[in-house]
Amino acid sequence: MTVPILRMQGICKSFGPGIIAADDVTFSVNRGEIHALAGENGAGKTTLMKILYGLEKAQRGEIFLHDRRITINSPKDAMSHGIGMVHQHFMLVDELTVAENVVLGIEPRRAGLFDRKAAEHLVRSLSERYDMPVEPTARAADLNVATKQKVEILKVLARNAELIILDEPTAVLTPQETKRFFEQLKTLRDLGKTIVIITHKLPEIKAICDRITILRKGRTIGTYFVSDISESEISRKMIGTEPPPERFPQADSAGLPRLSVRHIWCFGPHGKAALKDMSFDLRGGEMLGVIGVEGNGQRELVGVLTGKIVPDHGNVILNEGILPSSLSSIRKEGVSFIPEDRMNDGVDLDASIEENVTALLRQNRDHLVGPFFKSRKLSVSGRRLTEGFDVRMGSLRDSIRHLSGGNMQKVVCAREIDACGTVLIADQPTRGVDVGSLRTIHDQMEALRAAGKGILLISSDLQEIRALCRRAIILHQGTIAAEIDDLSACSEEELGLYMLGIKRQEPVSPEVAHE
Amino acid sequence: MNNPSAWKKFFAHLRTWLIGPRWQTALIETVRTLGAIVIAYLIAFVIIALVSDDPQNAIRWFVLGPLSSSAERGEVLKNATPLLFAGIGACLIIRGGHFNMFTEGAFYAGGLIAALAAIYFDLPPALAITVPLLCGMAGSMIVGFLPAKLKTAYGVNEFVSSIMFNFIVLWVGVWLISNVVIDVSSGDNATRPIPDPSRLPILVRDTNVTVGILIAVAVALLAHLYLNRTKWGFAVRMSGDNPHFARHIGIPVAKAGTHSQVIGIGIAGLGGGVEILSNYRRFNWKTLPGYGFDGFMVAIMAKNKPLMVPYAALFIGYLRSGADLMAFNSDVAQEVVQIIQGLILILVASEAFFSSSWLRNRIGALKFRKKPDESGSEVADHV
Amino acid sequence: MSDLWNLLSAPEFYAMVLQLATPLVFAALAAVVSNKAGVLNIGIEGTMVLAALAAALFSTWSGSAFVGVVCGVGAGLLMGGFFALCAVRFRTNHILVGIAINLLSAGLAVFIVYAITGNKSDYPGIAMTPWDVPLFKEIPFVGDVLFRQVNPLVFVAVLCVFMIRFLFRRTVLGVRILAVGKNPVAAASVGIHTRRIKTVALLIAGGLAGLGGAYLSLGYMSNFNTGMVAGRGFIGIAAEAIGGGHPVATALFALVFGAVNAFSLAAQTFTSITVPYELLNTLPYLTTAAGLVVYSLIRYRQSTHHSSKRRISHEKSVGD
Repeated sequence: MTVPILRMQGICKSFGPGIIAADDVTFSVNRGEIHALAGENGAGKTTLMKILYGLEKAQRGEIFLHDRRITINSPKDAMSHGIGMVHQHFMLVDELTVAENVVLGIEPRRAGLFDRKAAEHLVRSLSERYDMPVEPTARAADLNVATKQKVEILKVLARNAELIILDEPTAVLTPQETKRFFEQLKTLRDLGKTIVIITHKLPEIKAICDRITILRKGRTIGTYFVSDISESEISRKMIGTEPPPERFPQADSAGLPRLSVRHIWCFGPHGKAALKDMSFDLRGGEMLGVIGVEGNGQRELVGVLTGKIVPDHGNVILNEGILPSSLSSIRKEGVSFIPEDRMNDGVDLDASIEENVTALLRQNRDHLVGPFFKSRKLSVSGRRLTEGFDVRMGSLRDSIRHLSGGNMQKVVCAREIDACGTVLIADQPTRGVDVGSLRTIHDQMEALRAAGKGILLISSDLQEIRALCRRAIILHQGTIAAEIDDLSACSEEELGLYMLGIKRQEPVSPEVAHE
Repeated sequence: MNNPSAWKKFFAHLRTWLIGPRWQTALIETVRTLGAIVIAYLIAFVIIALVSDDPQNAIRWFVLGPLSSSAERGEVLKNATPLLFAGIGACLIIRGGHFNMFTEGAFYAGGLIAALAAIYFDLPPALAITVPLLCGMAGSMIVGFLPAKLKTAYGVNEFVSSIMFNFIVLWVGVWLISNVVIDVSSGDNATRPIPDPSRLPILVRDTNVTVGILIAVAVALLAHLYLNRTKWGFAVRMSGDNPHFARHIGIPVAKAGTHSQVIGIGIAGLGGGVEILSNYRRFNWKTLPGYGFDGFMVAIMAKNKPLMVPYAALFIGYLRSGADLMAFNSDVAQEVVQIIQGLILILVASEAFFSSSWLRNRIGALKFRKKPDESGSEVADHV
Repeated sequence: MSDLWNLLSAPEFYAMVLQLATPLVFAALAAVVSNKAGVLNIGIEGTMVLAALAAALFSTWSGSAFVGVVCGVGAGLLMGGFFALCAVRFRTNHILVGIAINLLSAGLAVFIVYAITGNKSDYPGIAMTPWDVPLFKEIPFVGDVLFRQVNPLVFVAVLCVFMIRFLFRRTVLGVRILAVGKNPVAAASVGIHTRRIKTVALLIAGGLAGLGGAYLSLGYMSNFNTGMVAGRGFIGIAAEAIGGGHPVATALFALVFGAVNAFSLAAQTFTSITVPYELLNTLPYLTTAAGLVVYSLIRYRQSTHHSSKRRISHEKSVGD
């Protein structure tokens, strides 16, 4: 007998015009099940759960708990209804002990004082009952990731949560840890807790989930029994079958390798390999796509290429030399870089549009007399760049703060594409950007490629890569799962299988072989 | 322009220009600063009314006194001069993202070194002013390099370390003027008199205004050029605004930070020299002059824009002159100025006081419609 | 050399160390509490000035040193509340609030003294009666240092060190202050009112700074004078930084700075060598700066050692 413990109905949420995170989403969970909430990045999974946990407010829709309508305005409300959430980024205070972290906000007291013994006892009894061994007196800072996750779950359990939401819980775990973690989740389920896992890892869904709800672009595609649906069906429903891209790149007149990554290894802070023996070439006149679900090594790869991370093994060859160690000297080699985090790395919000768009030119001899700027030349260049990228703005001297996201991103792209001498590394160049700006940026990148520069396009938008690139590599867990020489000959479904790690190309792509 | 629709167009144009983002921001900042001044004044009046037997007289001297005669107006300029130097120095330091308080010690060191150079270097008239001033500036920069470099290289909290350096400089200075370079005939712990050729010439007759104020204004202009028109200043501003971005575009952030702090300290040191060579016969400072902290206040009031610093300095100079006159002619102490300064500083610097988004909404209601998502993101930026 | 030996063997010297360290301990503890709440509280200096004045004023008016101390603490709480209002409620940059409070307090103190007395520097206060601890004072040497003619606030300072330690180890409030200071997002996510907790922490810090101020005008001296705080608030902040925020370690560093201060005063009476007192006066500041530098260097070494593989540039590890 299945009783829905929770039902969310007609949930709508948009972040401003055009950015719809949830569009009439319906979601229902039964008591005592492990329910997967699956979908691509940006499908609206996390937003939906944040609404449930009171971190976001839905514009429309209703939530029923045990068939009673409830309103949730804050995490506190959610907790009082027995809903707990473990965030993707842990919410632990490093300086406190495990026990202190678990009881933070609901501290047991004795004689008005913090009763540490009771807190430790609570943690011990919880960890025994739910089979999650942790040392209550250890400092949170000293724990490894898997243990931190246990502490987070204990935090939720200590608040008597009946429904536990886990946001991408295995993203940071090694396979062995994941296996152990799943056993613990099953224990939790068997003890009557209901669990919702936000994930896009198909093997895991298959391994432990009872049912799955698939979201795509803010819509519910459907809820299925995991036993009734195959991995490739899930993958197809998650990624969808889009109309073929309107533009397809011409055969690349691939030139000489501009950037060669050779057997790169990178280890994360806990010894988990973030990049494993990665090798590929980027040639002049080609745009190489980097496909992959986020968190599979993209960030580390970009870190290596921008000098932020020194690889533990292997090297990178740029324009026939070793990649310099600092970003400024990498830039001197003609590399430019569209950063993923626009607001933090891409612009100076306090400076004007002109200063932002000419920031690289300002270090360039053409625009300087001694240390002084050639003001007129700079504003001419600023105008040229902003006009070339069709930046909609009042005046060049207005603060960039007042531009919309799309226009701000056009400023970033204008600056970087203009400064590109040999290689452009574009990390999510069109994320959160409106369609018009997206087209402008794509046109300019294509023009840059046609001019013989090498472009590495890292994007979580498969359509974008299919529209722009002929060749692509697919990352999965820090390795290249597949290297596709002609994307047009590869179906989305197949790409999806590679992305989700269901299928792997047997290695030995030609360049790497004769190394 | 007889055609009404042409007028309409003209006004529409004017309005979009006036309430475009740049002017809007300027307008909001002006309103905020003026609001802060008014509130601080009101509080000061209440305080004066509480302590004074004749508050009307005190307030009259305080507010109108500095404008009453040309000599008094000159006094305003004289008081504004050191504040101008300290304010510009603080501007550069804050723009680079630091809170180095050594401008205070630099004022002392700059004054002392300039005085000593004027006294002990036998300088030809042509160099009698420039060389001491440059010596003061260079000396303070050398000392100030330490806290600056320690911050950018090893993360030594520049605020605390620079304050320790201030006290060290002070006591070394006091030791010098009471033991080493003391002129016993002065009847004080002070240096020998500063030779006349080294004293800055009076600019306006019958006042104490020297060419120091011209130097100060010139420095303000130079600082403006440095910050806004040179690659160095650009590096400083970017590192201060957003170090992540600065690093992204290849700016050596640590170097730019040291740079801006040392230059800011040098300007304060120059100010110390100008102050001594303008207004003192001998160097006899036995406490820190306090201009370092005032300079930060002036810089914050001027929104860290060198070209606005003269106005802020002039205002504080006026405030000081008024307070001096009030102290001389009534029973209220001039320290009321520090109370006003502290209040203005807090009000101008607080984000929630007349918060930009609040005001912008009010002004925006005139016509300028913003898309809802943008105003949302702005609130997020402030948090 | 004999001077030095005489000095170091005299119990009076150690008593003086205690006296000079006491205000530093209070200031440093105030810095500990505010830093744990994630606030760099520069206003401690100014708070001490006003508290010293309030203590002197009200002790004279009431004729009781105890009332003076209570009023000093009250003034500290007031300034702590003001800091919280500006920094927490109005979201003003903490350093600027601190600078403003220091400006304001210095001005207000002189202003009030002048309004009452007509002079600008001094205001008499009633000193607290020093305590003799019976029995213990008979212990040779130690008794002379610790238990004879000691200002009660010295004991209060020692008590405060352990109370602050207790606060962070044994109370709910302490745990919450730590959580709010170290990870406000995590604290908010479990329903803790971060603003309220920060305000409470700043009030405690204000009260401690108030005790420090009151000690200066009613214990160390028996009058208020405008220059009497003389950077002690800042030295306290430095002691906190070097002590890594641990109350006991911080207090020990405050004691070291107090000892340097006592030495710089005592050395003025040396007969064998004469060092000018002005140069001796630089000693406390010089040691503080040096201590800060050494501490930062060690921390910098550690951080670069840990991240030797990751080439994070200085500024990043150093950054705020």
